[in-house]
Amino acid sequence: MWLPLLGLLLGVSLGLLSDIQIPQVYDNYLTIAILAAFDTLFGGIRAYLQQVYDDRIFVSGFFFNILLAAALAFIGVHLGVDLYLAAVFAFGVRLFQNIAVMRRILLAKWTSRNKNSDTNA
Amino acid sequence: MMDCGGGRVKRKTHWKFTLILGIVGFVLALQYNSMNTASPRDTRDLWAIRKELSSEKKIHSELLEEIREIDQTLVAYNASPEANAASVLQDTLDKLYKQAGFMPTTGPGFVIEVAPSPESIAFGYEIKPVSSELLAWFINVVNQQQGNELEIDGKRFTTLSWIRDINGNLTVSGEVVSTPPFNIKVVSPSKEASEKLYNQLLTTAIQDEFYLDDFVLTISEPEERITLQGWTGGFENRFLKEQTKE
Repeated sequence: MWLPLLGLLLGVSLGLLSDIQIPQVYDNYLTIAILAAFDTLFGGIRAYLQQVYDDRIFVSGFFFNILLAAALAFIGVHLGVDLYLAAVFAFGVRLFQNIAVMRRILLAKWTSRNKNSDTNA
Repeated sequence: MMDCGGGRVKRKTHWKFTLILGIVGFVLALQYNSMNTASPRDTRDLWAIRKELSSEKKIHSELLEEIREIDQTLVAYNASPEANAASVLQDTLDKLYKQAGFMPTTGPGFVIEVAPSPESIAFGYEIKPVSSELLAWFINVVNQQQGNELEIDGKRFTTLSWIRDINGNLTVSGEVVSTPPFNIKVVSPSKEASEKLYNQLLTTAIQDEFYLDDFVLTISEPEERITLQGWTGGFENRFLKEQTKE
């Protein structure tokens, strides 16, 4: 539980300390990459909670989604169509769905635990 | 045995999550860095700041002067009895008309004669009207100093006037300017301003620009009194609206 959080902290501090700035031209790509990363991350946690988690699917999904989103943004820029909006929409919707499912699972677990403790008492 | 294998798988999963979260954190920090770029450094030196300060002070004093004028008008309105209010109002109206260039103005200034160059006459070139670009250039030079009033070939040039070529003729607000020679009169707010403008016109390239088009500018010495005619045409009021009394 603590190890992933430590990883997150490590990544954030590394990024802040490195003082790397992405040029404004590539802002779209970075934004969509973050969104894709979040989507996969929450998808992974959801799968973990539903006990259908698969390492390979998680890791490949993470990189593949980021690449696909960036490619979509790239093509969009060159075609003059804001295709990255499609990715933003898709990832946004999925993000909400994943979080909703996670919430339900966690709520169900919490309720059943409460029931168990009540019956034990 | 089973437990041991399950624990290893779980640990492996945790490591993968850690790696992915590390990447996410790194990318997030990058985005944060890019969004919060430091404001550009102020590289102005002392003189640049002094210059800006002086221009701001100039605006400040201009605004103060305007406020004082308006205050004076207000005092006049309040002090005068009802019968006199009309005359104060008329004064204000006259002042506004004068500002807009609708009233004749007298003040220190000079006359500029635009004439065909002696060479073009000697060679027998056809004398063409002055081009609108050239006249606009000239007006821009004059307007570099504030408060100058202009009359081009008897046509008052106001802030609403425009210069255009219409069918090969130079026009000021739709009225045709005659083919040179003609006179341009310039009135400045003070004698000093008039002399400054006179010297400026002598030193700028405007005379050469006119000469390239086969015209010669003869700029007479500044005089104490030059009178400009008022603009006789009407004006279109598109944006201002009468305020209703509350």
